[in-house]
Amino acid sequence: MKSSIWPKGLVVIALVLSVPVAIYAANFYQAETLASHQTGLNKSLQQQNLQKLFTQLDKRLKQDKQDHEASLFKAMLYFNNGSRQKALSEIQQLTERAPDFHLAHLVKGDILMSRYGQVSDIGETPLLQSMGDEQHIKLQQLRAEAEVRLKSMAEIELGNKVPMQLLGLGSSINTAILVEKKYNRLYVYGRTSEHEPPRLIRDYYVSTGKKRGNKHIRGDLRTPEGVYFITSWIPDEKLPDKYGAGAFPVNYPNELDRKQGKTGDGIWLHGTYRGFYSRPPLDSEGCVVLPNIDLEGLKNEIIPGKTPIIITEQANWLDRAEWQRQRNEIMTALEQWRQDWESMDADKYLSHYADDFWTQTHTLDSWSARKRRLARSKTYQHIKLSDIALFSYPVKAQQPAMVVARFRQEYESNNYTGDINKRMYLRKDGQHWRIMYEGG
Amino acid sequence: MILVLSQSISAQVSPALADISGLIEAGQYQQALLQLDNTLSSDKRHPLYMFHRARALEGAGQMDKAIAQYKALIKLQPTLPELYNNLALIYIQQGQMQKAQTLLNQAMMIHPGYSRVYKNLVAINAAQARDAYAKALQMPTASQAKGLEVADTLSFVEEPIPASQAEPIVAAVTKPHIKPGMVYQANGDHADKRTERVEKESSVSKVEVSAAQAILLNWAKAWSTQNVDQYIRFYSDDYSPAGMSRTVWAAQRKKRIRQPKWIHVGLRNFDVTENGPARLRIRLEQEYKADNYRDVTRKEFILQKIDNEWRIIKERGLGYIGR
Repeated sequence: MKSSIWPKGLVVIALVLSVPVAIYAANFYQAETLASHQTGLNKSLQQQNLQKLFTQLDKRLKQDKQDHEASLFKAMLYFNNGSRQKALSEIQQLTERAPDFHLAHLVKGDILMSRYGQVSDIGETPLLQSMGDEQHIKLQQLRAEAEVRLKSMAEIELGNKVPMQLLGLGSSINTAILVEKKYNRLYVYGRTSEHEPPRLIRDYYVSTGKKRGNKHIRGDLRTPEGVYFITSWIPDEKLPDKYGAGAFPVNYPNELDRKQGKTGDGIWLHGTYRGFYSRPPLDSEGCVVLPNIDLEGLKNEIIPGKTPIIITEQANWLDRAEWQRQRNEIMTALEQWRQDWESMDADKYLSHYADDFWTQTHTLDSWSARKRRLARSKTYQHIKLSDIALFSYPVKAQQPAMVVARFRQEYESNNYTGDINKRMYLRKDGQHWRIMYEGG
Repeated sequence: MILVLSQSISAQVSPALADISGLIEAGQYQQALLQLDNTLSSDKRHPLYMFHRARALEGAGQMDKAIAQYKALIKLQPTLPELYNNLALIYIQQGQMQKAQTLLNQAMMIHPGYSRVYKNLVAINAAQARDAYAKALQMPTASQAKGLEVADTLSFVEEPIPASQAEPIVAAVTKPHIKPGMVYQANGDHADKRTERVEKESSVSKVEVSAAQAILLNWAKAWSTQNVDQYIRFYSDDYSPAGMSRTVWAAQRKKRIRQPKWIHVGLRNFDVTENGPARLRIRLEQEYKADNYRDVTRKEFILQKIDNEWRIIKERGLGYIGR
């Protein structure tokens, strides 16, 4: 689905970087040895391509000098490229800035040991061969963290692409969060204008549930996939140490989850134990875990009760034209619903609802009866929708598309006037978008 | 001028300076400093005078003065690697690893074959690496650089060694010091129960304690003989470190155990305490030697009696022991 804006050569090195065994290759194998390992690798080590990566990382560090991951990558790239001294100096500065970044210490050890040509993979040195199992597990976890971090750098290249999950933030949501479990990545998007795609502000490494897959029942150690909203903020002092700088609870199970019989609660976006910069990629009981420093940085962007957080296994990246097309399709469906409602033609209006429609208190039958009754009492209706936010729901490939719409609805009629914020789940049944759920 | 001085260094050692060298060797630094003060003023310009003075100052704990003396001497004699070496060691003592490293690198550039500098570089590199790994894997202790060599004379008596031959590199860092009699060899023949410590009212008898220790000795033996299947059997059947399946774990152990050409694992200083019903916590020192590496670490094992057999249910490193 994704196409890359990186030059071909760069993609090759990026892929190489994603294979842990080859990460440190240049520090003991010469380029010609490497070339025999993997075709095209030699070419990929071209200075020009590396230079682009460095430029990108420097840009990240300029934007946020606390972007420790960018600094780690720089050290690893220097190391991979054979610039041991530069690598060492970069990693030394990093470990001073972030003394609890365990992965950085591990890489530092490797860079120091590489002087003797004894490192073939992260932490693969004789110094660790006599260690106890507890240390080996930690080593495995740090390797997994390195791998997924590098993978995200290597494989995700967005260019001008935008996630299908964010089809519009309306006029009152400033930022939206997207979590891509496959890459243990959290993206923060900011609103540009109401009808334009949001802009990526920053992305972070996060830890997710110990088990892969979508959450279904309490205690299954999985991170749920869906469209959620941050509900509140719990400060550090009210929480046990393991949550670090604080926590943003998320509204799992949402309306759809509950309908589907999903159980469990307490899915939070939270920080990390003090003394640990980050946690292994698959480590939580279902929560999304950020380094404290990143949570602090993100805190001001999040408005409890408002900020959406969409969690998906893998994001779908669209170019602007496709994003506009998908957005327009749903905006049109909503507008048609509004017009048909306003027209007081109950049949037309009810044709927008799915057979399995539900609300907190209604099924389609009771809803239809009530709406027909109400329609008969109206002489006129004015309905205005504004501040429309649209979020594509993460669904499996064979499932029909779903969208969560959140908007402001101003209603006025001969016998009733009221404004509410509405949340609506829509599903594409064949060619038509139909409402599955509607609620305040 | 400098060239003349360099040539004169080993040629003209005045008897007085030789005496002072002896005092420094004997650790009589104050005496040495007094004598240095009383040296003929002509001798005070001699590089060896300044060198001895720096060493005596260092010995007497006057580090700032010693550093200043070495720096002055380096200005005068920028081609002597010993000076960089010794000054670097002072910086290491002060924990200024970067400065030390820079100096040792300079010394290597001046005289690439000077093995002492190379060894010291290796030692601090390995100590730093060890420190980094200890931090990365959250082990409680990390060791200081060991086996650092101070130059005690200014002549090139060392046989230059090419860097590539200096093996095994890491072994230079810790030279395990083993007292005969307190060592548990992996064959377990002469078990020393000196450090046993099990409460009298304990449900685990002394016999059981010896049995548990014997199990660990046999575990070490399996490791030493690189017999992976046997080694794995010492762990309980459901032993699966968090985040890893037993298969993955076993495969990994296999790789690690088979990698070196040879391994010898010795255990000593057993410290046994009860850790629940039919469960023992054993802390010990593990001396690990292999063709490519050696170290001494502290380890903790939890042994559980399962079906009348002691099995390892937990194993973790408590840190490197510097020796």
